Amino acid sequence: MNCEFIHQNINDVCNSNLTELEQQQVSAHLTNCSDCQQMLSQHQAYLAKLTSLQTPELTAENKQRLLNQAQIIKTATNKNNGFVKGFAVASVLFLSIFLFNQQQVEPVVAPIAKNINLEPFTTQVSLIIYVPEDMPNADLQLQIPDEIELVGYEGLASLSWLVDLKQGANVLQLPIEVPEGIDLNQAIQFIANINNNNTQKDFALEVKLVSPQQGAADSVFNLTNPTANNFNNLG
Amino acid sequence: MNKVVSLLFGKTNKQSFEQIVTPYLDLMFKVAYQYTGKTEDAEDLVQEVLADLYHNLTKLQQAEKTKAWIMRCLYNKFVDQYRAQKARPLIDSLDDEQQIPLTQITPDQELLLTHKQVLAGLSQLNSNQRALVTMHDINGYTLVELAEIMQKPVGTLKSDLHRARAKLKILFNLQPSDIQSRHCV
Repeated sequence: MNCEFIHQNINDVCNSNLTELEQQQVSAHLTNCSDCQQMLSQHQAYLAKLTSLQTPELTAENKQRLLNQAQIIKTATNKNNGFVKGFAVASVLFLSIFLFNQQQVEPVVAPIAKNINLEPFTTQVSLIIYVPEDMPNADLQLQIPDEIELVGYEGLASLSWLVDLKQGANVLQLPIEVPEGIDLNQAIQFIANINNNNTQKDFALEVKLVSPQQGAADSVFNLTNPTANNFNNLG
Repeated sequence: MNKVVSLLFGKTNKQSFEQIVTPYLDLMFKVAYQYTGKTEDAEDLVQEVLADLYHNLTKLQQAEKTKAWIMRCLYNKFVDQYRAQKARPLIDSLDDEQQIPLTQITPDQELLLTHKQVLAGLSQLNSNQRALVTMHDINGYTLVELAEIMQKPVGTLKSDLHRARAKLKILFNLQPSDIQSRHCV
């Protein structure tokens, strides 16, 4: 045991976080080393001062506010970028449901020319549900449009399941297969139904399939739609 | 159907944002307060970190060491803020807003003065030193843990900690003459 050990482990020495053997050796050293005694006393006083620092409590209300605000900030500032990236990477069917205020994304203006899909392809639906408050154990039913199939569950017409919807954005991702011969410029219709605390809401959502080439441009259109931006306020 | 539901809602095998961060909120706020010295600034710091965490939710869900990841975000955000506000002193004076709430916390005026003295001392350190002292000497993190959080070599942290302690001990007036009258631990 020497001065160096005490210097290097000064906090452990002060807080008695040493093995029994080390403690004995430190005690023996201190009895013969006035420099270490002084240094140890000074460090104990230093630690005592620091640990007297009191921290105010974060109330449960403030915690919830911080959590909610974080998601709103993200929604307002960064969500669009994420979606644009998503659309740019793959052709994605974009679907948004606006709950309980009956707001609905205006369907993208359909171009005059048809855009027939010559080969089937698989893509992913991003389903975003904004709810004004937590909805635990809500019963969500979604009817799959006839034009498309759910990957792995071909022929399935509807889904129904219980889900905990959280206040703000709830993102669902659904892999779908788009068969050949579909006009990608046409709007298809999803029917969603949510039952929460015996209150039911039905939503008919017109959604446009987009080709990989059009995806990025169309997503930008959606995201800059004033109606789409309004739902940030619901979070 | 379960497979479909799991595809629809990743939550079956991934924790939600709130589930992940809520257990660490108290710690985040506590450390943020020790970093900034003000309740309002601590809340702002935590708020910004939470927004970043939410923005990187996928990474957060995949992080193996969630606590270390969150504390690293907090540290990085604090350093960013410190650099942006370098000209502004952390604690303006002993008559700042802390007097009211702290008086409510404890009527012990000596404790209050010590509290203010510590905050004033910490405010004299740079962001790196302040974080080191806060995490190591107050919250008990080891230098190895801090090396991961602050992404610096242990040797560098050890040197920085030594310098920070020396400065604080001078600021705290821990002279040999009055050490004897003090007692701790």
